[in-house]
Amino acid sequence: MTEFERALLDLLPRLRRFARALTLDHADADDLCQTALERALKAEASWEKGSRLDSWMYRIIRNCWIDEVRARKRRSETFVAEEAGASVGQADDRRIEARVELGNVDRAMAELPPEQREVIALILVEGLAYREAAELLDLPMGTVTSRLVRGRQALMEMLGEAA
Amino acid sequence: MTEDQIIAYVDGELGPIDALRFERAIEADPALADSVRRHRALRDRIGRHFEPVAEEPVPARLAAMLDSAPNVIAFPPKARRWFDASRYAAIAATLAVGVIIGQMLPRGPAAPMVERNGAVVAQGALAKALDGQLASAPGDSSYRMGVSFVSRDKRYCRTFSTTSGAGLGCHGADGWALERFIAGTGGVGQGAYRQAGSESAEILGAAQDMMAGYPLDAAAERRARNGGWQAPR
Repeated sequence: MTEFERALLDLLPRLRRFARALTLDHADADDLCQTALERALKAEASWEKGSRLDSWMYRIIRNCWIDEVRARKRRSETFVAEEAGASVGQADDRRIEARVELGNVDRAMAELPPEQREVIALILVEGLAYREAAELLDLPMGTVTSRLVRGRQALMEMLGEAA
Repeated sequence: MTEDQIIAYVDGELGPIDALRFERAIEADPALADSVRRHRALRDRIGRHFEPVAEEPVPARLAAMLDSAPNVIAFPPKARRWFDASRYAAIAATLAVGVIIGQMLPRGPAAPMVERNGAVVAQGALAKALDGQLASAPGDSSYRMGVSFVSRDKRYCRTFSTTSGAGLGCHGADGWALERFIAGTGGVGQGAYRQAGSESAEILGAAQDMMAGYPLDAAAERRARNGGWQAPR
């Protein structure tokens, strides 16, 4: 095992937690980690030694997830175009049922727009400082804090007074 | 207070002075206190919800991806070779220009810092000062304590300064792990504390970034010390 692999292995529990907060699904989260690890192992040379490996990995995971969501969207659009009609309503029903199975927090997180959810995941779940999250997402601090505030307000509303 | 400020306070993003000002406002405003309570409860609930994922065993198929040479005798699981290799780089990155690393990390029992389990930890007089010395009572120690606080990862941390620079240590199982040490750019050997110097400002900035909430007051600092700096719950 190389030093780089060892470092990634040490990080893996936290990476899985971050992936779970993004995907809100056990299997999706581990698939996402697998894709991200593949990408990271290929891109080892682009990681600057001495810089934070966790931030570098969070960024890869987040980018992989954006790619995956886009690919799914394309697939489902193709599906709708080909099968236009009754099956769409059925798929929706299945999705709603699946939703109900989720815990309240998962359900509330799933309702957030992706750009709010990733900020919540980095700051509330992974404990990053605002500045760290802003650097990782290549966003101005003000954008991060406004997404954080809106995301939190929405969560609070959905989870109720007894949050 | 705006909702942004409330949230920044709950996330420990306010500077020590703003945080103190915020505390005063809470005392005078029950509605604000309630708002803080609800935002804190939300943060805790979201954090707690995902925490168990990090405790789960890592799936074998993911771990297997990270072993490119499975037939070679493995390192002991906790060898942490990577951290050893990058240790000096990580520390050197925090050093002010023009400082010789050898001065900062001298070897031997008299050195203020020693490497242990891949971390740099305080020993000797520095460890003693971090363990027992209060900010208000420097005594005859050559170290001066600055701010003591609880970090986001729930450790007690303290800033300190000495004639050769300023640093930041956090208490853990191996004693005081030095998160940062920045060498002074002058006054070495002159007995001159550079409390307002750039290295102290840098350390305070780092402390502010790591801090959950606001610095301990004198009574809380004393309580933490008397409790052996055991991680707060």
